[in-house]
Amino acid sequence: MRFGLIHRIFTNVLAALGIFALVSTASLPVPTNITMCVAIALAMIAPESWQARPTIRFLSSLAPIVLFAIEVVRLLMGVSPIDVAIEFAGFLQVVRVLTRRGAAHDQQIIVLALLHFIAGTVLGGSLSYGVCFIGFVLITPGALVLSHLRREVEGNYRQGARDRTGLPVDVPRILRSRRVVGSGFLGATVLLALPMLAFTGALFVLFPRVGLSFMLFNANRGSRMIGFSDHVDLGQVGTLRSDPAVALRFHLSRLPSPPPLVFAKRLRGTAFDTYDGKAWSRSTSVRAPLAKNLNCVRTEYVQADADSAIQFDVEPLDPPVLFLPEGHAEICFPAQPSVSRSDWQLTRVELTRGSEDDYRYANSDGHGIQYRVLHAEKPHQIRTTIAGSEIVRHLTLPSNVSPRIRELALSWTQNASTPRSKARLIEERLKRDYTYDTSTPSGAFPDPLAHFLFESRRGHCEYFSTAMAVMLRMLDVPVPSRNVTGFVGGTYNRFGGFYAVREGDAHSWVEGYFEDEQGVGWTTFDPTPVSGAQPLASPTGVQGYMRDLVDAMAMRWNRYVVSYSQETQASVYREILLAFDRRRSNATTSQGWRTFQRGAVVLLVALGLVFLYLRQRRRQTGPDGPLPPVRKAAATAASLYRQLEGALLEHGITRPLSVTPNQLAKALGEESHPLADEVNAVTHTYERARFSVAGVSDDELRDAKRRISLIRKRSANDVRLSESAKKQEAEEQEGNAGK
Amino acid sequence: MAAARSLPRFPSATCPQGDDTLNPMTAVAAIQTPNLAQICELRETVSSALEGKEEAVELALTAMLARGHLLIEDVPGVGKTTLARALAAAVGGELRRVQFTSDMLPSDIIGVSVYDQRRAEFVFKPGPILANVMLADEINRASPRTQSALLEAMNEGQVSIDGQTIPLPDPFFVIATQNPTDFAGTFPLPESQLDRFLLRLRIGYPPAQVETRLLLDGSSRTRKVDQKVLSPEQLVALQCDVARVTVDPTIAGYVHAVVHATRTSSLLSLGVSTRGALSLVAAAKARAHLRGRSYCIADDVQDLAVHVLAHRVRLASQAEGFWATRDEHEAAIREIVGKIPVPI
Amino acid sequence: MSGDATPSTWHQRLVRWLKPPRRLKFTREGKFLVGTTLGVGFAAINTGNNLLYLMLGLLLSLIVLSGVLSEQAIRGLVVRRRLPMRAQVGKPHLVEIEIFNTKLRMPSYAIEVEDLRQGQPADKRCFFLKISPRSSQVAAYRRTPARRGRDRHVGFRIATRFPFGLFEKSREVLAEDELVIYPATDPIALPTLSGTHWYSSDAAIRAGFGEDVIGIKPHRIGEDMRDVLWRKSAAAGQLVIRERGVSGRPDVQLVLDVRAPAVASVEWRDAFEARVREVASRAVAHLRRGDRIVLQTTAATRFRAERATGIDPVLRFLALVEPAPDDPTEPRRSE
Repeated sequence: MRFGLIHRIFTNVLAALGIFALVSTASLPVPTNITMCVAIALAMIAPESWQARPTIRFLSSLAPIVLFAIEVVRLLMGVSPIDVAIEFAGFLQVVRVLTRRGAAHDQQIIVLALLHFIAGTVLGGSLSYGVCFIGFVLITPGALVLSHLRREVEGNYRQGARDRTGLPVDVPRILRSRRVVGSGFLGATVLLALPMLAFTGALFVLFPRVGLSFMLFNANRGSRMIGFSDHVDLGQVGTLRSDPAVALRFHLSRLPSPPPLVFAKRLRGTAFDTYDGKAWSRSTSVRAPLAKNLNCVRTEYVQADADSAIQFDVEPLDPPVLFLPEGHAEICFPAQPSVSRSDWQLTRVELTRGSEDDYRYANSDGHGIQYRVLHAEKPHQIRTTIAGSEIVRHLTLPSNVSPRIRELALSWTQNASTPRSKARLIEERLKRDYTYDTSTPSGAFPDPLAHFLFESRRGHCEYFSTAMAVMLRMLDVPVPSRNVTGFVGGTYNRFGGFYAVREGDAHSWVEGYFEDEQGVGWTTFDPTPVSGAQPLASPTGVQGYMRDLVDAMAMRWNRYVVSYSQETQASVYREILLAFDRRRSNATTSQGWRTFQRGAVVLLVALGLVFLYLRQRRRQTGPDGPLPPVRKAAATAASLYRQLEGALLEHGITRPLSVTPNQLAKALGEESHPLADEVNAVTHTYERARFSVAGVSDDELRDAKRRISLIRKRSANDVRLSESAKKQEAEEQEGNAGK
Repeated sequence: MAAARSLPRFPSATCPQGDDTLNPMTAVAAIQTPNLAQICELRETVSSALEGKEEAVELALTAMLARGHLLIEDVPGVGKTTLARALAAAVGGELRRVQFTSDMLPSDIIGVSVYDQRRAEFVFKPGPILANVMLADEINRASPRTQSALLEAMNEGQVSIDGQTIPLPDPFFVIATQNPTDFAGTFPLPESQLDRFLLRLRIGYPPAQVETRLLLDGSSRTRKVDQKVLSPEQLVALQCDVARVTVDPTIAGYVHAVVHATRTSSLLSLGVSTRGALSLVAAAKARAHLRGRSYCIADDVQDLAVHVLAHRVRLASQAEGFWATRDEHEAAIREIVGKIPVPI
Repeated sequence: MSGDATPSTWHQRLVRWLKPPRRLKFTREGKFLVGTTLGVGFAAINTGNNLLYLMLGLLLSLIVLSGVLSEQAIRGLVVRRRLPMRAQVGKPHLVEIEIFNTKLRMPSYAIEVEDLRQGQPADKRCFFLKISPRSSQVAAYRRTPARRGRDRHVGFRIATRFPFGLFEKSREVLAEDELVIYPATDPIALPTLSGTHWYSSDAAIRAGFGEDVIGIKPHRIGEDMRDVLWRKSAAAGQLVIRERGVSGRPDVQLVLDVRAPAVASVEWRDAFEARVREVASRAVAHLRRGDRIVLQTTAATRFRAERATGIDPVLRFLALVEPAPDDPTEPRRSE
């Protein structure tokens, strides 16, 4: 391939990766993102001949200034400075790519791409950033090398340089040349990414995390916050049931086999007590801190089932709520080892419990949270009485609520006697008579609830839960109720072995408070028809496969890279030290380790053999490609001599190209090299076989081959000899010292 | 004419028909292993005349076996004449020695038609060139006209005088000598004339111990000079054997690469002609035969390249008016050959 | 590897392999990258942002990779210099530099070879974009010498900014060579008269044993029978011979005053160089015309030259001639 073309491709890919990393991490408006991507694509496909045009050259000097002016104006207009800076960086790259001339500009493009990547780290990196990063590592060595070479070419062959034959050496000629870089070069530069990744990885894992925190960026400006919201408003379009972004993941400690693809579990987030006719809110914001002298916090006083733990991994979200299954008994946070090996540090998570039994944590680092919940599958009814004032909070109705709703509620419940059975009836009626529909028009009306119940008769989960909560409060014996939001999910990921709960799985349901023979406390009702109270149906086939793969990778990226912390590092050290200790204390115990060792040795030997075989083959065929067409015997002879050369190379003897075999043999003889006789004999056989018409007999060929293998073996023997001689010498010296 | 007829005549230089091209199937039959004993004896005999100079002797024999002519360039008194004499004696040929001087004329070499006033007719008096071995001493002292007359005769194998064409004897071998240090009153041979010599060699002073021994018993150097090893017929047969030595296509390619490099090299302003390339192959064959091989190897080409090619090229610096020495020529050829990869 | 001392024991060899004598210099880009790396490192430590750590790792690995690759590029190179046959003051000549890559597989990219000359700044360099494995490349630089005399080349500096242009790594090898710079010559239209002795005479042709035929004449007893024109004789009835002529010219003597005052001033030195230049110009002009010259210095050295010897020996003699102190106790001899 042509040098110039390869160089252009590499630089373009790098620039695109930089822009993509920027766009995917920053929360710019979608039109800006699209404009930037389209602009960079257009700039890349602009033909190279344009670069000499005066307009383009004019543009190259003017555009950055204009761009700067525009962004300054936007900054003054009150646009966020970070957005302005990102836009400026992105469009600067576009201008540079469009107007580049020569290697210096290409190097600027690389530098800009690097800066984009650095900016991307500050803006917070999702999995797409990780993918870009890998691409960056793959491309960077090649792009840098090519730019450097081009720069050298331009610097050295600028003014009328001529080569030996007097032909002018000009830059375009070299750029068109196909000989400067070949496929081997490209392969090698891409392969360079492997040691780079290894080095980067090692440095990443081992670089001490000091955490001085002198500079605090406003990291995670909500760009990666998931969309679970802290309020329910019927007037707005509710949570879209189609957003597939993963909000949280959970592992089940007792996973049935085969794992069900869909695991519909309600995960309670927060709850609301006050309804104002359109939206739900909380009347009180009292939060009680939870005792945290242990890694685990008891929540409800139920007896957790043995081995019933669910491991949660929640993406950063606002508000920072813990999602808990029904019947949760205990929340545990991962035990964090300290750097010293003996004592265990307590968790840093600070938990508070709100008035509606919602659990929140202090969102300090914006990395989401991981926790383990112990729960009971079928909990006994918990006796949690609430005070009178609390009951009042859960019974208040807005003044403007339509009286028709009360009539409807009463008409539905007239056949039941107990409050609990009335609640069941309402739940059933809502489930049976109303349709689940995310695009209900009811939100646009002044009383959306009435419109839902009497006009449209379709709505999303928030309508169902609101309707039931309001109706419970309107019964002749009002039932205290609250509107609960959370998730219902999720779908199984075959790569990560976890269940993914997506933003589209956000759900809303109802809790009613009863004091009767069945128990005292809150009971959960879900009036939404089954079609709406299910996790999103996961796509099947290739699409599902890909989605699972990406989800699993994103989970690992977040857990092992983005949230890698001092604690994780300490635990890594600890693991390494422990493994070392184990190995030292009893090397014989672990069967698996020994198998691994054996496997590694066998693998290394096999790789070595393959390498040697390839080397050998290469020697035989010669590095300059296939031999010219010659007689078969002559070809055999030539290969014989190449074998000899290969054997001699092991002794550090090479034959310069302009030296004949005979001269080499003679030169070895003159310096009385130990191999001279063998080399001489083989050379003579080769010469006769190669050039004489009569050729040589098979015996002679065999003899020559035997001599070559003898030469090869000589090396091992010599080493052994010299080693034993050295040993002897050392012993002698020791003996002397003894005397 | 009578004098001409009295010279030894041999069958013409056509060799027995043998397919000496590169067809391996038929060539196997044609190949004869070199008559080693004969060659050894020849080499021994000539070497004994010029002790300590095996390389020069081998080169001289190479030129003779390849039907070429030899130019010896060296200071006087290192055994040029001795070598020529020994060569001539060894092949049983007739040696004529001509000392070239500035007042020499072409007729002094080729011969002259003299008008016999008594018989009123022209009588051809043959010159020294009509011999098997001719030693042309200090060839650069003669005028360019005389030089060119000799060299044309060498090239064409015949001389023409007054419309008569007289073929030269076979074998015919010219050894010319030249003194490189003495420039006064000389006419250096131009490249076009030098091209007619197969080889140019330098004898050099004998090794110390040989020289010392020579000083002790002064006569030893000329003692065995007259020993005859071959008859002229045997020499011709030997020359035919040499022509049948196998040259592999890769060796021919190697020769071509060398020759081509001399034409494109920036060191030289005049490269080697096709005749030069042919000479190199012929010399390589002869050397292979002398070393008891029936095939050429790259060593033959490489070792002979300097001797065969150095006098056929013009250095680039010569074009600027400088007078290049012989060492520079040889260094240039050596450098060019040193850059050509040897075929394996 | 030319110029590298060969270490003896294996562990010396190992140390040498691991720590070869190299010189490292930052380029502008290198300074920028190191600055960026430090900045990213600082930011990473302060914010604890893991992605910054990742970036830091990448940048550091680039630096390490750069070191390894540049070492690979600079290893296994053999440099040879080919000086021209002649060089003259004021006339540009080419010095060829051949570089051979002895590595078996790896090509070397972007190698810069600087020719080091004794006592002179290293401004002559050759650039090689790519040297394929087991092959050589030749480049040449043009140089116009300013002083006659011996020009000593001491070695090479092999440098590369490969692979990323961040650092310039270089090593030096010894390779001594010597070039004799001839004095400058000016074209001179002969004949002219100046301080040198000059016996002017036209190229007179007189009868003798030369090459040119002047005419024919009847044969007299004692004359060379070989010059007899037989056909003419037969026609004329008497022996007729050619009359030959020979051209003769006397030697030209050039004298160079090399006596130096006890304290040689700069002006004297310049005047001396000018004299050398003039003598050289004359010598060349005469030799071109075919005269034989005798060059004589006041330090009692004589040098003879004629057309056939060429002008090299004369110029070489003049290139190396040095002013002699006034006391001529030790006459110098040219070779």
